[in-house]
Order: sequence, then C-alpha cells, then structure tokens
Amino acid sequence: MSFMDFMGKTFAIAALGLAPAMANALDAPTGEVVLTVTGNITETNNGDQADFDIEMLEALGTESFETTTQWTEGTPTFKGPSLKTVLDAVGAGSTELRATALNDYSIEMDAGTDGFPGPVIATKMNGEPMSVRSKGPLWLVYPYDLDPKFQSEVVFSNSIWQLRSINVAD
Amino acid sequence: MSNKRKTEQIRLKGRGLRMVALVLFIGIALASVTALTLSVFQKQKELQVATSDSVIWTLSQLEVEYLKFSSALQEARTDGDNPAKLRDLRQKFDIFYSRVDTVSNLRGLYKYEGGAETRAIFGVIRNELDQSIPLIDGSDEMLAAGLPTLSLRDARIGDLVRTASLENLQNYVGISNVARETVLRMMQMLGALTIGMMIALAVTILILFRLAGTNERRAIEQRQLAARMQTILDSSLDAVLVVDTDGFIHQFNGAAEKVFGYTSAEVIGGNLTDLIIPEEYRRAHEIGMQRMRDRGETRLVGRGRIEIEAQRKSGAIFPVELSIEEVVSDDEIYFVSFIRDISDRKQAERELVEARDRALAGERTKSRFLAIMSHEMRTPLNGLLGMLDLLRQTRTDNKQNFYIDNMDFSGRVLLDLINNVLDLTKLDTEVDGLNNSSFDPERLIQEVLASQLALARKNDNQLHYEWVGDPVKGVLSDRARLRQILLNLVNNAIKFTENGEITVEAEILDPLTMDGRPELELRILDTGCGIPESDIDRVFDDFETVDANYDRAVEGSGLGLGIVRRLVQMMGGKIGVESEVDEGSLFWVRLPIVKTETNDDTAQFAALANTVKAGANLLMVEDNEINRRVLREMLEAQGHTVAEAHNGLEAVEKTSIDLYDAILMDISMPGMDGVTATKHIRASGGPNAHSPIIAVTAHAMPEELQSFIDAGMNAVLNKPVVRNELTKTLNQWIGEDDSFDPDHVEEAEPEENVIKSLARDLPPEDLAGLVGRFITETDGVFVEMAAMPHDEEHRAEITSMVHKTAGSAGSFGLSDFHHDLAAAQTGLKTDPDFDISASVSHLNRSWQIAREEVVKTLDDLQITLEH
Repeated sequence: MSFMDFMGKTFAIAALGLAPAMANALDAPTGEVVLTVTGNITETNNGDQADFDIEMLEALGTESFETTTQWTEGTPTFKGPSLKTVLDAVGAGSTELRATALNDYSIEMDAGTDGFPGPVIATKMNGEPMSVRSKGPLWLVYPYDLDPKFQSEVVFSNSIWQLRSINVAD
Repeated sequence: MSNKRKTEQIRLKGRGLRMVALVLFIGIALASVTALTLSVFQKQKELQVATSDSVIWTLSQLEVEYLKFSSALQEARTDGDNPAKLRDLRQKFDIFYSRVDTVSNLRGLYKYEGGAETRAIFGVIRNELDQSIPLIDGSDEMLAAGLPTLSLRDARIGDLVRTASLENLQNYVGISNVARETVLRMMQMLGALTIGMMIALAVTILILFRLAGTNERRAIEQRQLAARMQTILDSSLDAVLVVDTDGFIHQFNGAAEKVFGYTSAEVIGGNLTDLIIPEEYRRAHEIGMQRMRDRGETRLVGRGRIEIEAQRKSGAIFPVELSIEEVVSDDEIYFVSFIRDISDRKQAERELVEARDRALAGERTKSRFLAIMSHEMRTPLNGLLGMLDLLRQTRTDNKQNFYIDNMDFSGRVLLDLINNVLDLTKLDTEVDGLNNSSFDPERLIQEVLASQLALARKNDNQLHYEWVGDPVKGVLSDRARLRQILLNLVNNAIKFTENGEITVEAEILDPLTMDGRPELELRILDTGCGIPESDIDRVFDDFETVDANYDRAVEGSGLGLGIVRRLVQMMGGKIGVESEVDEGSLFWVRLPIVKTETNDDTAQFAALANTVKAGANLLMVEDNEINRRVLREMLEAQGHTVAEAHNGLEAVEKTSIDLYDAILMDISMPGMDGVTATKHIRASGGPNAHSPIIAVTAHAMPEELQSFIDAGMNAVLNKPVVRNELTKTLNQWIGEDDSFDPDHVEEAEPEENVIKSLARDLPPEDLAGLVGRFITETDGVFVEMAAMPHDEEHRAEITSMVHKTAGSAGSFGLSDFHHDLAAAQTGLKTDPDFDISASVSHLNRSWQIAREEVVKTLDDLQITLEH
C-alpha cells in the first residue's frame, strides 16, 4: 500500500466518522442518562461531558453476537454499539480511557483503534434491556468465544458491567 | 568371507534394532513431553482463565457491596423520608443482588468438595434477597415501611455472606493448592522426561557418532580397497573386463586396452559381442548369454582357464586364455573376465613342436643315412669278397693265394665294421624281440674262438678257453646275440693284445636268492695294453677308441663295445670292465639264463652238413642272350651244370624229358611266357612237376608276384640277378651251401660296375662281343621305337621292347638307365594316360648317357668294341 493510499483511507475514515456526529450533533438525552463520557472529547451535550440514554446509544448503530461468559448461564446474545462507535461519536482524542461502574469498580484500558469484533457496550441481552440486578443497564462485553485473544485476564477485567461513565485520557 | 559377512550383518542388525528402539523411545518421550506441555499449558490456561477472574476480588467485592447495601439501608432508616436515600438503597440492593447472582453463577467455583454447600448458602442469600424485591421495587412508601423487615433480613444475610465468603475463600485456596501441585507434578514429570530424553539423545548422538566413525573407517577401507583393486587391475598383465548380464562392458583395464586395441572410453557401455567376439562366434555367444539370462545356466563361468579366440579392434583374430568369475553385488550379477593374449605362447609352442619334429627328422635321417651308407658299402664289398671266392677257384699259385687271403681278410674286417654300424643303427631304431633257443654255451664259445683264431695268430696271441664249475647241457638264451657279444669282446681283446694271451672263462652263477635267476658269466681276460683309468668309463660309449698315445693305434670303428653294451642291456644282463695299463683287461658279462637239459645244436649242425652238395643240374629259361651268359657264368662258377631253354615252350619240352634240381624261369618271353610254362610243368606230372621253379624277373608288380606263386613258382629272383641273392635262393631250395654268412646276405642291389666284374670272368673278346651286341640291339630298339607311332595300338609292342631292354640294362648294371626303363614299363602297364612319346624320348636320352658310360668302361678296360 502506497503512502498516498494510506493517507486517503485515513481521511475517508475521518470524514465518515465525523459525518453522523455533525449531522445529529449530540442531542440532549430524552430518557434516563445511562452513560456519561468525559475528558478528551470534542462532542458534548452537557457542559464538557456527553450524556447518553439507551435510545441514543442504540441509535449509533449496534453489533449483535452470541457468546458464553463466565458470569452467565447458557449462550446469551448481546447487542449494542461497539466501544469504538461510541468513542467516535464523542470525538475522543485518545484510545486511553478510564471506565467506571455503578459499584465504583473502575478500570483503565486502551480501547484500541479497531471496531467490531472488539468491545461492545451492550444495551440488550437476549433482546431484553438489562436491569442493574442483571449487570445492566450497560455491560462492556467482548465476543469471548470468537477469538482466544478475548479470553485473557486483561479482557476479563475490562469486561465491566453496570458501566456508568467513561473518561477519555488526554 | 561369508562368515565374516554374516557376523557383520548380525552386528549391523543389532545396531539397527538398538537404533529403532532409541528412535521409538525418543518418539514416545517427545509425544509425552508434548502431551505434558500441552497439559501444563492447559492447566496454566485454566489457572489463568477459570480461576483468574479475581475470585478473591469478587468475594471481597461481595462483602464490600453487601456492606454498602447494609450501610445504605442504615442511612435510609435514619432518614426514612428522603427519596434520595431510598434511591441509593435501591441501587445498592441491585448491585449487591447482581454480585450475588454473579458469584452464585461463577463457573468452576463450586466444583471442589463442599462446593454444593457453599452454593446452597448463596441460594439462601438469593432467596432472602428475592423476598426483598417487592419492597425494593415497590413505592417509596412501601419501601420506607418495609425498612425494618429489610434490616432483619440484612442481619441474616450478613452472617451468610460472611460464612460463604470465608468458606469460599478457604476452598479456593485448596483448589489453588491442588492445581499448583498438579502443575508441579507435571513439571517434575516434564523435567524427568526431558532429562530422559536428553540422555536418550546423548546416547543416540554417541551411537551416531560411533556409527559415523565406523562408516568413515569403512569408507576409507572401501576407498583403499577400491584403489588397490584399481591398481591391481591397472597393473594386471591380463586384460580384465567386467561385463553385466546383458553383455555391456563396465570396466576395461589398461592391459585390455593393449590387448584389444580399444581405449577404455571407447568400449565402456558398449556390448562385448560387437567388440571382441569374432564374427563367427557371435551367434553362439548371444545364445549362451540368453540361456544364462533365462535359466542362469553358465558354461564358461568358474570353469578355470579356457582357450578360445578373440578379436582385436583391427579385426585380427587371436588366441586367448580366458577365465570368467561371477560377482554378485547389490542383487546385480557381473562377470569378471581375465583374458590373456596367448599368441606368443602358441607361436612358441608351434616353434617348439617344429624344432622337435626337425630334430627327430634329423635323427631319423642320420640313422637312415648311416644304414643306407653302410648298405651301399656292403653291397660292393660283398661283390668283392665273392669275386675273391671265384678267384680262389681259378688256378693260382701260392703267392697269389697269399694275396687273396690278405685281401679276403681285409675285406672281411671292412665288412664287420659296416655290419657293426648297421647293427648299431638297427638296435637304435628297432626294438627287436629276443629270439631265445636252447644251446650249448661251450660249443658257442669254441665256435667264436675258432673264427678268431686267424686274427689271433696274426697278433701272435694265444686263445684259451676254460669252463668253470659244473658244465651244463644247455642254456636258454638268444644264441645269435650272445655269439655277437662274445665275438666282439674276443675280437676287441685280440686287437689290443700283441704277443699275449686271451682267455675266455665261462661259469654258471646260481641265484643267491630264491626268486633270482641263474646267470651265465663270461669273462674275457687279456694281457694287452689295458685301459687307462681315465678312459675306463668311456669304453662302452659309441665311437670310442683308445688314445693314440698307447703302444699302437688300433683300427676300428669304436662301435664294437657299444653294440655289446646295447645287446647285454637288451638281454637284461650286466657288463663291466676292470683293467690296468700294461697288465691287461678283464671284461665280464652276466646274462640271466635258464638251464636246460637238452639243446638244439645237433639238428642245426646236421642241417648244415647236409647242405654241402656238389654242382646241381639246373635249367635256365631265358630269352635274352646277354642275361643267359651272365647267369651262366655265375652258376658255373659255383660248379653247377646249366641247361638252356630260350622260351616257355622249349622249357616245357626240356622238362618233360630231363630231371633238373631247379628251374630258373624268366617271366616275359616271346611265345610262351614263364607263368604259362610253369603251369604246364606243374600240370604235366612229368619229372619236374615237383622241382623248385624260381622266377627271374626284371620288374614285377606285387600283384604279379602273387600270380607267380599261384602258378606254382617257389621263389622270385629280381633282375639283375646278383650272386648273393642267387646263392641264397638256390641254397634255400636245393640245399646249396654258401660261402657267405647268410645273415649278411640280404636285399643286394646291382653291383657298381657289372661290366668290370664281367671283365674278370670273361675273356676280353667275349665281353667285347657281348657288350657290342647289347649296344647294337639297344640302338636298334630306339630306332624302331622312334619309327613307330606312339599310340595305343603300339603300346604293347613298345612295352615289350622296353621290357627286353630293361633286362639287358640290369644285367650290365646300368642302374640309372635300368631305373628309367622300369619306371616307363610301370607307366606303360598301368597308366592309361601315360605320355608314351615323352617317355620314349626321355629313355633315349637316358640311353645315350648309359651308352657313353659303357663305352668309357670298356676304354678303361682297354677293350675295343668290334664294329
């Protein structure tokens, strides 16, 4: 691949990534806020932070996949926008981020530059919204069964359930 | 070789088995290690994945979240109307609930012993929480009202959480230990296996190292062997070819290049058949090769050296010696042929054989030469001695008699010499059987001594004889040979003794052992000059005569003792000599004999006595006047009465009237021939029906001879008639005595110059007339023959003329002319294609030569021909 091709592709991705954000801007959430993104972001709707309700997240475009997890019985189907989609939506300036759960569980992670298959912010399990009792309403899950690379210690600890906020590092 | 190879194979097989075992072991070990490693990884993964989800964290989080919930409950109770507190309580409840739900579902956490109980505890906790859900999910009022109930439950949940947490933790630690131990054991096994494998690898390396060493050594040996083989092949004097079963040449050494003229590069890969097998053998060779390929049958392989022919590059065929051996390598069969060019050897063999043949031929030629020479000398000598006999019967005075005696003596010495040479060659060329008879040895000795008396007297020697021991009546031995032995020895003694004594002693030596034979010992002692010690070993060698330095030179051939030695050896006896110079010599002979009680001597002597007969009454039938005259001379000289008949008819007439002691009958005569006349005489029943009839013919074919005998003739005399032959034959048929030793009368040939011999018997004018008539007649015959046509019509006539002339020519001893005439006669009689003209002109030339010879002889005799 030539340098010009590479540059062309990079611009194209940037254009595509920005286009929907510019079109919808970031509307104010109409439902209960389930995710707050702060830090090194360009798109906001509540001061310097971006708030999302379920509807907004699902509107970003969702991925759907089946996988077993060590925390659930059977093979549930997860559905939700990929982490990358969300980060793109807020114009994240970095892939380094800190995610925090309702129970104050917190992790630092590198979201990486790839989209799906990769971390997904699930809004539905088996087609149903998830309650806090069942690790909802948001659960950062990976398609564990798809690739052994999603079965590492790091991935498991990144699988933060009851996700509430994301802070993008500078 | 094969044993060694077998041992090698066994060793290799053992080594192979060991290698297989090692490889198997390493394989198993490798599989085990792999399996173990995989297990360890698996275990490791398990530890990483299943139990790594921070169980401890989860458990502690369980307690934390319980405490947060409990604390939120406490807050709500103290400030029961605050909806924020209630909301917080609800959230903390949900989080705790979620945690309990998570922990109770945690995969693998309950698989250990007592896990079920722990799980049951979580079930109870869950149940308590589920009971609280209606309150939590209800209105704020309901929740506020239910807060005491929640507190009660909370106390129970707190205990349960504590218990479950502790128990869980304890169990988890146990699981971890078990897992660690398992991993440790696996690691240990892995270590042990790795060490085992290392050892096995080390052993393998060691074995491989040794194998490599052995192989290298073997390779070096192989290379050296190959190099040595190559050197042997290169330096081999024999051509060496290695050929496969299809006849393709694989090796061709330097000698082969020289022998066949091809370079190795030219023939390697080529076919034997086309290159070195001569054209004519190629088919046979191909058939042989095919047979070998089909049935493994080989005819030349391993058969040692075979001589065959091969072909060079130039196409030249040459003899070779070949040997082929079979070599089996890598299941392929090769033939190694060693080929030697034996052209030179064959050539040498041929030359050797030729040289041997030449040498043998030379030896035979020498013997024949000696025999012929002696024979040729003996014949005229016999004539000489015969003439002396005739001379003695003419009127001679004492002085003449003395000369005659001396001449006779010399002649006989010469004859003896010649006879000795003849005997010697005969002894060398023939293996005569012994002719044994019983005789009185004393009489034989006396006879011999008597014959030597004159010679002894000449040298003033005295002869003595003594029989030692008991006399015998007779002995069985070869009398003639013994006689010659004794004669030669006595003769020898006399020659070397002058004015001395010669004594012959005889004695029968009885055998010393039971199986021995009695021997007759003869000792001949003389008082002669003796033999020097240096010469004594040579006396029995041929042609040895004593050194001329001694007293007097003795004439002789030096053959006498050589003959004696041969004869003694033939008779199985021994001979020896002892001698002292100037004292004398003693020759002794020992011959094995058989003593007999009788002997045949008497009869022999009686027979001899009876042969003495006065002149016989003979009839001579002959048409040729010259022949008649010559024959008459001979017969009358011996005291016979001769009647004549000129042809067969006259003979028949004469024989019907008078009795003759014998009839000499010519064969070819005008009118009635001799054979017809003989038949008439025999058939007539007249006085001569049983008289001996002797054919006298110039030239008789062997088949004709048989017809003579069939007609009733008793003997055949060849023309020209010679005295000895005549005498011998007459003696045989009419008991006529003869003055010659019959042993020495045989195969006499024409005397050298008959005309000169006739000149002694006939008055010159008679001889002149006789010869003159012969010349005139023969000239006439050639004129007549030249005048008539030489065709078949005249063949018989010409034959008859040739025959007549041949008789006359023989009578005058013209041997060359006679020979030519005889040959012409044979041709005329037997060869239908005979060239008569050529023969006639050849005979004419031959006659001119003979004629000059005759005239010259007459000139020498100073006889003038009457014309």
